[in-house]
Amino acid sequence: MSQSRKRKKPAAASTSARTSSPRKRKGGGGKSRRKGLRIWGWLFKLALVGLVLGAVGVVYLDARITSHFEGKRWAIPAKVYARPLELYDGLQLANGQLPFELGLLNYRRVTGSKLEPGTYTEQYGRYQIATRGFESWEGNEAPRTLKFMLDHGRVEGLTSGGVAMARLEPAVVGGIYPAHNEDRVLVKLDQVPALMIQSLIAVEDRDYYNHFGLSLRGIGRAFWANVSSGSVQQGGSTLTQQLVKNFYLSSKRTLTRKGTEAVMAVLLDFHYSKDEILEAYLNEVYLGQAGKRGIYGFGLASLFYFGQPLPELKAHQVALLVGLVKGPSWYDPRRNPERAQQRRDQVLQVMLEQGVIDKTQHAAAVKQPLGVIKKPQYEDARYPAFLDLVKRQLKQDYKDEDLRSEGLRIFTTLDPWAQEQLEQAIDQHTNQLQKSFGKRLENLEAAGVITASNTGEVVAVVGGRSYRYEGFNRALDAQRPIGSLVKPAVYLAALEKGYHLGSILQDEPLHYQLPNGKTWSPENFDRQPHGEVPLLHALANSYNLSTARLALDVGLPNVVSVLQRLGVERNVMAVPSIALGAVDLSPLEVAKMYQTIATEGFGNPLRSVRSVLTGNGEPLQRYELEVQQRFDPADIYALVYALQEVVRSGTARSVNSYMSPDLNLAGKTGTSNDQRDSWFAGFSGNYLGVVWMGRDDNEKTPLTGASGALRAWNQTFSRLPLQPLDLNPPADLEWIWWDPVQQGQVDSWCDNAIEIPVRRNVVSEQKLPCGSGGRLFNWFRGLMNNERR
Amino acid sequence: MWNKLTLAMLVMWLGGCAVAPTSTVEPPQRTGNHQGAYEPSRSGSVYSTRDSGYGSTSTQGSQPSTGYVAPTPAPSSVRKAPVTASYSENSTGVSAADALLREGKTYHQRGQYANAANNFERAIRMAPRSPALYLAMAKTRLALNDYNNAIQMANRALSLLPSEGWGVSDARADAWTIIADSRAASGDRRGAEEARARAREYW
Repeated sequence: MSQSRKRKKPAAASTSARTSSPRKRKGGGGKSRRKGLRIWGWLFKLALVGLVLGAVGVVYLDARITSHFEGKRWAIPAKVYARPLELYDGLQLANGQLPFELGLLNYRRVTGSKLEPGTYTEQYGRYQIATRGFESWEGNEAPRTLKFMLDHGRVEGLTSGGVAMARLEPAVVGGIYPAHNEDRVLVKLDQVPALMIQSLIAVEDRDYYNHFGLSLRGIGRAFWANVSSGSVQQGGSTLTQQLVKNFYLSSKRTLTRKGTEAVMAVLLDFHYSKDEILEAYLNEVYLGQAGKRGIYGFGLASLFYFGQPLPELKAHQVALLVGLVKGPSWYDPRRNPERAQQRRDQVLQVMLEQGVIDKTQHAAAVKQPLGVIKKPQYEDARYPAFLDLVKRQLKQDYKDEDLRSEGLRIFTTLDPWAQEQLEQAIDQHTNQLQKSFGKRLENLEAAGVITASNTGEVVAVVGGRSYRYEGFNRALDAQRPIGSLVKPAVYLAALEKGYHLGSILQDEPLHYQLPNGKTWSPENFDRQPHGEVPLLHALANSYNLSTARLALDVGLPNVVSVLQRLGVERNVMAVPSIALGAVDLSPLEVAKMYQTIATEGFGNPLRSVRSVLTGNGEPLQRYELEVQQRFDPADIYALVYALQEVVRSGTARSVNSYMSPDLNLAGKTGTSNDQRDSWFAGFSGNYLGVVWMGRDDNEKTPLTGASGALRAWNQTFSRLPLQPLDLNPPADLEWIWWDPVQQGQVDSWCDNAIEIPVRRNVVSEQKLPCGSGGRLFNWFRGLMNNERR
Repeated sequence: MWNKLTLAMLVMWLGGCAVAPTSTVEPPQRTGNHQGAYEPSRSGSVYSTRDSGYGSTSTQGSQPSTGYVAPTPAPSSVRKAPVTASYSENSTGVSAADALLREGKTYHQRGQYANAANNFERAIRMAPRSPALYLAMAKTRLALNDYNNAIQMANRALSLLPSEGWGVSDARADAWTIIADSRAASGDRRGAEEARARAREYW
């Protein structure tokens, strides 16, 4: 509300004062009778002028009132929601996930059989949940009572009136606020419990339904109360006056303002019904503060203090909110609980006296604790890094102002459980690593992204170790060399060129002449060549020499082409060092790249928003699932098999001490030059996760991908409800027993035989006899390799 | 050095004693619950990957002093998804997703394509690897004249179908027909012919 507009009325009043004063002086020296007549004449004219001016003022005020009241009254911030938890038979939940999700929504655990929305019972894994319902893109999710068993994290026997699935309402995880930081959740009058309205009227304005905007009785009562107590106890303002004051006027306490307020209150009452004014009041009133964000209206206050929607509130909660109107900061139940309780009981007393509640209700309510939740469920940007991603996606389609004022409802893909597991894992492991490395590892930072591996929905984003604070969002904005994470692109290019997992690579020193005359001489991490290695194991163990040779053999432009088809949009130079990860990407970009592998060669855009509804719940926009095939399924199948080998026996073996090998997880460690970056990217049948660790100043760390990022990944994934990664072998793919030394098919019992998936017709059908002596040679070499490592 | 050699001999001997590796090592029975307190077996033998004789991986973490016996070189224990599986255009493997699929198909028949697509996408979140859902989605995209996405959804369905099994051929034919129709509708006549030929292979 603009200040300039508010001041116009007092200005009009002072004009009339100025016109009158000089004339008074003029008539200063005539005869007394004539003078008296003249004065009367002047006074009459003056009154006329005043009347006209007053009428103009009233018309002006009237216009202001109607225009504001009928236009858009408030700038409503967009609300950002997490994904709703969908419950159905066979759904796998992580250990502790359901209580977490219920807690996030402030469902109260109760006993007994009769459930109200927002409550649940649990006994030996048998759940009964009364949901609250919500409006979604797919239509209304009606409130209902669900019954099901939770057996080892699996939902079984779900019934809810015929439909075998149900959704809990999505948690609000943030908002996109207008500049003045007023936040509110609009409520319609019929959503407000009658108890609340009655109590508010009993406490603030008893004659509300009978007066004309002003209440003489109210003023009289206030006057009496003030006189008898000798101090200003009551204001005597009606709800209408309070609304006018908040809506249109500055908070200065002047007499003219009081007058204007009274006139406007009468006008408001004249124009609009009591219910319309009351509804506006309920949404307008200021009820608290959370940092920069002002809490306005009872709808938001209910979520802010109790974590429950307004209709669920009981008498003692209603009394607390009604009491807050008098002074949200003075009676703040979080900071001044005792004062708040006194005020609440005072309100309850009035409710009793006015017959809003009876004696038993009163007695029960007074016994209740304040019941205020410690942290508001409706916390401002609890997951700022994720919110950042959402805003960036929305900015492509919406004006900033619309996001801040139209009350849009934004349904995102955020999975709060996955998000918090990632946060905790990054927190714990960065702390642990710093502790164990001491001075060698200071100012460690980290970031991570988790997606649904089949659909590209982003479910979690952590932008740094201070993940509750908005700041540099490393998950989106830190572009760092990805090290060995690039290798799958090299091997994929090789597979496309006719290599297979059993091809032999030379892991031998390499000196490559660069165009600028310099020589490129990469080295293995252990600074040792490994001789002849099958392609499968070169990738699993992340050998540099063989990979560099392979990349040069396959052709760098082909590697670049694969990177682009994997979803890397950045311009990548076709220089030899890309084969070993001289490509700078953000964790989100890495996620996009690995997403294409996890989705079996189909690129799908990473999405953080599913749909947007208007403030009234009307569908506005949906972001649909899209896929685009970019690779041959047989090549991807072989690559994924090799990435599973990384976990089975390669650089990410430690995964197996956290999760069952039956999950067949796939992944890749990454370590950049001088160990400045520690990466891990890996996926199950349903989730893909990327974790980065390093320093903002790009200094060296003692970490590798396996000793840094992988640890946090392991902990995160071990707490997610994982599905095994079982890919269907494409029709043109076959499993063969292969002897890499002889480079031919052999029988399964031969010494060197490894079983690998290859595309049909890539290798000769001819079967060779077992090679001799291979086992001795290889076992021995294996041991020697071990020694060196 | 001699220790190493002795160990190598020991390993060789043990390997030689072991029965020729003819069958894959069966992974232990899954309880169906993967998350949470997974205890890796201490000896490492239960879950240890029976790696090939090639490469160095099998002896990782071996501790000669504790009498660790290196695993016999054996075929990889990777569980391969079954090559044959039956396919039904009405089944996703998750009953709730089946219900959404059925309802979605009804929407589709009534011409309510947006609702149908909503249902399929919601079902895909429950059963993300169901070819039936992608095939249904492809048909709806085609009905919405969204040809490129129709083709891509059909491709995705093809990639998710098992190699062989009941109903798989029909599903392939179905997918290729959608691709042919989409290509034809977007003016790619030759591509449409090729796709139709592919479809005929499976009839």
